[in-house]
Amino acid sequence: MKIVYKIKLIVVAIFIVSCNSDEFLDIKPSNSNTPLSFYTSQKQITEGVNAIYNTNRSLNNGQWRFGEFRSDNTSYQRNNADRGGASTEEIDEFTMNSDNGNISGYWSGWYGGVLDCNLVLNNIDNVTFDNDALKNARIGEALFFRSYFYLNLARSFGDIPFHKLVASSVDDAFREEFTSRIPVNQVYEAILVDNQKAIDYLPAAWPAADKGRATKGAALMLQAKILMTIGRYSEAIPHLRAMESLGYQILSNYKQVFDPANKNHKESVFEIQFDYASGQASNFLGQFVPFTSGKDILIFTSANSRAGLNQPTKDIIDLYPVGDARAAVNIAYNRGQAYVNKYNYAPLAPGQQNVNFPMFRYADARLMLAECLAEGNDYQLGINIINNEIRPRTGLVAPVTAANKVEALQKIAIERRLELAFENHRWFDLVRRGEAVQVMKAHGIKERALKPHLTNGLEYENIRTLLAIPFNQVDQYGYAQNPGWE
Amino acid sequence: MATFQKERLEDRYIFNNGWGGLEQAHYTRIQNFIAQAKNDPKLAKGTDWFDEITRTSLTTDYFLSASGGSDKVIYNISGGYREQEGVVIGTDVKRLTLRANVEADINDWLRAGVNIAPSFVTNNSGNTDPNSNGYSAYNSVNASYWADPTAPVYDQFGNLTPSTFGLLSRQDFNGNPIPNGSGMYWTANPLARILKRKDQSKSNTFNIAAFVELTPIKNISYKTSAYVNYIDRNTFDYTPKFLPLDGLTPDITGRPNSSSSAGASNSVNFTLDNQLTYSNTLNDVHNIEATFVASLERRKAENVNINASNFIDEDFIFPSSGNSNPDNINNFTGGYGFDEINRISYLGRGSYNYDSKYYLSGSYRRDASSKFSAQSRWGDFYALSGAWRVSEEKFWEPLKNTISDLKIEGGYGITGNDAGIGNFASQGNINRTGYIFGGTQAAGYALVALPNNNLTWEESKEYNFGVDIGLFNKFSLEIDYYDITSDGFLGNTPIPTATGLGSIINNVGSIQNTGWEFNLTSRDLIKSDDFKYSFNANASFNKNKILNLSGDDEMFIGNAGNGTQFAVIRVGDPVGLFRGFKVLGFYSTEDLADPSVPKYPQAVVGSPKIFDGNGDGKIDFSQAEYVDLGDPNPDVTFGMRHNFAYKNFDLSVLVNGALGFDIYDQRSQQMHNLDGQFNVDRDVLTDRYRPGVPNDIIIPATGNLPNGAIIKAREETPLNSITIPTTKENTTRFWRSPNSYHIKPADYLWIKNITLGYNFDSKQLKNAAISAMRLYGSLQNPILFSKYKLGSPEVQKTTDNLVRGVNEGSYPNSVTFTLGLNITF
Repeated sequence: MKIVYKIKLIVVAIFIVSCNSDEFLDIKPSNSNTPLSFYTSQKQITEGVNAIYNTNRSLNNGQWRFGEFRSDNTSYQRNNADRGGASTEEIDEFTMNSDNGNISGYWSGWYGGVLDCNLVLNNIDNVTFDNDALKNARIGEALFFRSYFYLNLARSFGDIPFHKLVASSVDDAFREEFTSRIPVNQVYEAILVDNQKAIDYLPAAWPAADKGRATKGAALMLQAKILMTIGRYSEAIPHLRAMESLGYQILSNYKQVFDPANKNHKESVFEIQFDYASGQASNFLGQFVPFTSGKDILIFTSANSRAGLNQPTKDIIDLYPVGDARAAVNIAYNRGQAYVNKYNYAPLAPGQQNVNFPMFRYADARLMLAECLAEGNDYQLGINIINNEIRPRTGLVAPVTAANKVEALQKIAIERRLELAFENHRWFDLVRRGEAVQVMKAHGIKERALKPHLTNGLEYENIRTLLAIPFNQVDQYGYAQNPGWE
Repeated sequence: MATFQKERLEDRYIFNNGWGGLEQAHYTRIQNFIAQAKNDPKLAKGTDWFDEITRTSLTTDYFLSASGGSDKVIYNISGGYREQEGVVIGTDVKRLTLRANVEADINDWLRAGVNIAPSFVTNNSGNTDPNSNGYSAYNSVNASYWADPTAPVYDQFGNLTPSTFGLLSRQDFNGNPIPNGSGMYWTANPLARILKRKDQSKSNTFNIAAFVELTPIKNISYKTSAYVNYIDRNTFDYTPKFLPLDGLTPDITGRPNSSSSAGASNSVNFTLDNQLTYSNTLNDVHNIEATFVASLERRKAENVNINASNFIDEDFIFPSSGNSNPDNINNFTGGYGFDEINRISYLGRGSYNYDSKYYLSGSYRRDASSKFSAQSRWGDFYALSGAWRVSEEKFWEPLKNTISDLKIEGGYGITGNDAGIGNFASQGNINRTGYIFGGTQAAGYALVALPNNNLTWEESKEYNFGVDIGLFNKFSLEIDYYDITSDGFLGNTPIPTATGLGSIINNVGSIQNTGWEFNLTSRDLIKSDDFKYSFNANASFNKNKILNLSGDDEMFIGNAGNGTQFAVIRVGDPVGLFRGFKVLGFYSTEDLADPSVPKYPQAVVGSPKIFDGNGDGKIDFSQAEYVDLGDPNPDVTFGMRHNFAYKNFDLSVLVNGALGFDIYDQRSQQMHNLDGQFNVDRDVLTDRYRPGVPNDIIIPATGNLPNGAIIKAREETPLNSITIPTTKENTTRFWRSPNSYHIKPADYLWIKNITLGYNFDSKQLKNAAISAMRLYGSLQNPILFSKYKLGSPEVQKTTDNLVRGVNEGSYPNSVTFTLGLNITF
């Protein structure tokens, strides 16, 4: 019986081994970064900040829908045979319902960006950096973006949930900061404070290897945009003036501003970066070419039947004076159909271009300054900016003149349309100036005349300057709905 | 299934006038085609795409086994080979399986055994099924339902055409494809999609189990068993330039680039059980058994894959870094990853019965799973049950001839479940993204899922009560009642998107299932020398209900596109009710004139009339109008098996069925759609809206159906009498969205199997080497009775346990005829 006990001993040993292992249960995924262990080092914080740029890039890829398409600058080329894009056309026609998928995507997209920023900002205090300047710069980058994201939410949705939090559980996700809307003015006040800190923390320029990061100049320009959105023009002036010493310059050739051979030039204040060879190509053409263009523009593939979006309206085509060099850069024609041309640089592979996007550029800053000056009765100074800084490269020689403040502001608004067409500013300019309803109703009459398929009489009628809070969110979490969307 | 598409070519013309109508050139082209087709029966029939991709296929199956042994050692060795052609062309499976099992009593206190079962499988699949993302109109099977029947499968040289572009597809005046204009959509030729692609996988599986059992002391045994399941898998797929891209109206000359990918993975599942058992019978009546088990389980899978596109040499189709154009890093990609789960369990179980009359048992277990965080990974579960075999009592003696057996049993128990979520889901997820700084790539990481440290075991609390009754020594009837509450089932709870995220992994809520189960089994009911009959029948009645949810009291599931969902999980309701627009019929002239009838601005006579779900007096294209439309949960499911034997023949029939449930058919949005872009189901012929024929209308008009047409009978319909209606539109989207028409009652009764066999008796088997021989033939799935016509009513969507009863189109069901021979030596 000796052997028996020996075997029993071995078996009991196995038993004990199998019992003793909490280690056995603590395992990590192959992507070893989990939210529980991330944002704890300088490297990780930097990677978290880099992700904000990526989010900002994808949000700006869709910004034309609500920044340009809603305005009088662009409309759509109707495809009778494929009505699958109808819900996007409703943006242009002001016939959306609150459950239009474009709205819920716009809402959740910006909040996704806010989350990226909050993760960095809420963790960075506990992380040691090689030097404080870099740490501050990272804080500045995150604050710049969070302010920009909230600006887009505020000017699109009005009163919104405003928070600097990362939800930690289901219960936490239902706290008031997430489920109730605060007055939009409080949002603007809060982001002015945050972005001022970004101005203080961000460097005026980055080393070559970091080109593309947010700078002091970008934050100054954002601050001016926020202030102008709430009508505080005079306060915007010092921020725009402060940019003058930062080395920005209006290029002598308008086309060069968008040319991929000329990325991150002197006029660029904040440019969204793409790089074909790194596998991060841009694709502006895909949606913007006429759906009837076949392979004419896309070369490798035929235009999608739901392309033909964001097409220049007759309104803006007619607005360009004869001889304005910007017209041909901004607008081209294919088989009789006008399309946005300024990002039209040939694809290098199917659906892949190497074109950057000008989120903020200096010409915009100068026209903002012109507007602020004109608002302050220095309207001639504003007109001078057009004539001396904006016009020289356009080929237009007759000077712009204005007899009074009102006329000057009109001329500046027109110049913004001509100069910044299809850069997703027009709708926000209209709302900011309080002209959206009036301009779009007048524009709608013209559009209806050009669009015989619009027979319901509802298109371009219900001009709501605020978007709906997405239907699902109202339905499930009880947000108050915006007027006109109930 | 294949029948509906035949002979529809002429029917097709009626509907072929999408928005904008047909151009004159298009008319001429079709009329010329009809004239030709009249003299050419093959042309007139058109292409039946479903028929083209399917076949009568052959499966061969060999199985050989040998077993034997002594009173100390038993063994069993078997081997099988199966070669199965799929009913879809180009799909097949080859499988070789082997098994060897040996168990031996080494001495009177030691027993050991080992079982080794490798298998080798080679699989060619034609990418025929919908992908895991849900419904796709482009996979070969779904595309074969709606593709243009005038498009040829082969060109004039006998080569496969790349696409389903045909006469009815959108063409310009020169017959060139244009994505805009009137006509049908096209996609890749479904047959070419199967034959030109490669989609291969090979897997080698080894199942190895071994145990050692000791009985050192009387009544005590100790067993250690280990089980290893090792799977080694290789995949390769290739898509040539030749095939147009997935999608509607793709470039018919093919896709921009060929691509291929190869993957290798292996998984090891290891389980170790240690079991200590005491069992004894005292005084002949007290039967006691106590068991203690400790076990651990480790499952780990690793995979490597490489993907290539943009080949330099198009003839070299395997991924190879030198053969992909180096100008873009995305042309050659690859990666490594793993997945892992570990579990530990301790279990104690005791049972007692007195003289096989009174039974009592209880168990207690502690389980830990690596899916949960350290603070919440251990779960404690217990169960208690008792039974009384009444018929063993003395007082029952007089009743024994009528009720031969009666047992009453009941119990309560809690079990834990950690399935249904990813292995690392509780830890949240940070995804690698990237950005460009200074013209070069920089790494970035973004949070895409929040962690949940409180995530823990789902607990199923079950009460059950049952009666087993034996009647007349002929029938045994089992009746069971159960009430199972699953607390904290695992999934995602939606949260306000203002948080930046849409949901959190969570113990989502509680679901209660209550029901009755009946099982009636007969012994040989008729038993003469020549003839025998017996049967088994079962039925279960189940009701489920959501008891509570974390977060909001309803959540929407099942993606229907455009950010809408077709099903709802709502407190107080059964799981996964369908929702969508309720179609009341179609708008009449009077409806359009009557302001009190809710309508949408685009409505025309004949377009779908929608129920005003939010009661605001108008119809918006919005989920605000959605109402509940159907229940995917059957009221009752049942099955029967009948066994007959006459002399040497035996016959068995197996029947399944279910009543009281609905199916949401995603394909119906195309196959019952009159916007002229898809081939349609035959029902459309009789059921579609047409003016002046009010009686049999089910399908309302969408888009520009010929509602101005006068269609008396289809044979007599002159093509040019169709009046193209005005360019009203935006009504088809109500049809393409979840709506009541796509939700069908699916009650069914299915004869699943009929087997007829003949057993050769020993007299007939003169060859002494053969001891028994059976020849049989069987029919699998031969007859289905159901109002649901679009495929199998037994649809099961597996990606989300809460989304039920959705038909997304899948590999076709087939009727299988089997001929078999069993020989025992």
